[in-house]
Amino acid sequence: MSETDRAAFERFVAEHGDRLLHAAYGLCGDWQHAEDLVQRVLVTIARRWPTVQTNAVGYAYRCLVRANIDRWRVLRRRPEVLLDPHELLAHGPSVDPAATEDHLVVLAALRTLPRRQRAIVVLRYLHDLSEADTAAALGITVGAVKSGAARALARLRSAPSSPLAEVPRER
Amino acid sequence: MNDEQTITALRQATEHATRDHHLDPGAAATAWDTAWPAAHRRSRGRLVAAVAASVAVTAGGAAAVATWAHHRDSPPAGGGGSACSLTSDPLPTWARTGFSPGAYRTPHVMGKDGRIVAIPFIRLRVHQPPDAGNKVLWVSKAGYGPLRIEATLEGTSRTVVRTLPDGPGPSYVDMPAPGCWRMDLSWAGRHDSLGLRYYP
Repeated sequence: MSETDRAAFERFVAEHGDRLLHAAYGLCGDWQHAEDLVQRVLVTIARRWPTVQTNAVGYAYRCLVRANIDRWRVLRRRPEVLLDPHELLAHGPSVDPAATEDHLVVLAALRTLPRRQRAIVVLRYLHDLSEADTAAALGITVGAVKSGAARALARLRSAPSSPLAEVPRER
Repeated sequence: MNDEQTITALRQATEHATRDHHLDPGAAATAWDTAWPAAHRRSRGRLVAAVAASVAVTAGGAAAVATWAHHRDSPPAGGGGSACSLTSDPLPTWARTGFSPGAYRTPHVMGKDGRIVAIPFIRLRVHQPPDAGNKVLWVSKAGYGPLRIEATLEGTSRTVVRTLPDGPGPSYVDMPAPGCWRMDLSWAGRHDSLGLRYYP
């Protein structure tokens, strides 16, 4: 790998790193896990840079989704962990003291979604991926993205105690 | 509330939650060095060959090629950008007490001589939230006694010393500045060294 490749990779990270971090946070709900996910994904991208650089952003989203799924599966497989340092504080998102209550309940509602629906909402509506790119990132069909998105939004609004149903329409 | 209003509310909440969070500036370099440590040395080897082929064989030229060859075969000084990188390789068997099998790949840093492991419980930061702490579990292969940590911030001469009177084990280790801290560790007549990265 040449210094030119390295420089191109570093430019990619400088331009898109924050966006990937925020997407990871949307997917897993914890900043520390999000940082770990992104770092893992960046190593994967670096290793495959020559083949993925023409669509590195799309590839990065796919890797993020997969890494989050892998992490979730590992968590499910561990019925009892005597000492798991990186889970000790993973009881929920870091709370920004300046966040309004409305913002917090909206974020909490997002976290009630099933994992795939949550990923669809994060990628499609919070990161403006197209239906096709969202489908590619998740390894599903465009039709599944559409139906998943519709179900996610409906679920956010229609649950009996849905916080979004209580968010005032006008401030 | 219709779909558009729901999406708007989600965007506003997410923008508020993420606006002050940025990727670590060293993330790209760390990722690249982790991905390509051998390639970095190979690319320098190709440069050696190119220089050897193009430089006339004079006494000075031969000495220069010999110098390049020596550098090619030597590991990068200080381990390069990966000196403070965590690994998800399985913990050594002597460091697994207390961990279930599913947690054997807990991120950690192994000492250069393989005598001690540092397992951060949390992303280490200079400024942690009030309810968090820079908890690090130190596990030594052998030997127990007070653990002396002499830490030097990479690229500087700034050094701090920490002593854990109870020796290798759970501890809180704070550093005064962000960056890669190279740590020389001494306990019970033993010595090793490793690096831990502290974020802002």
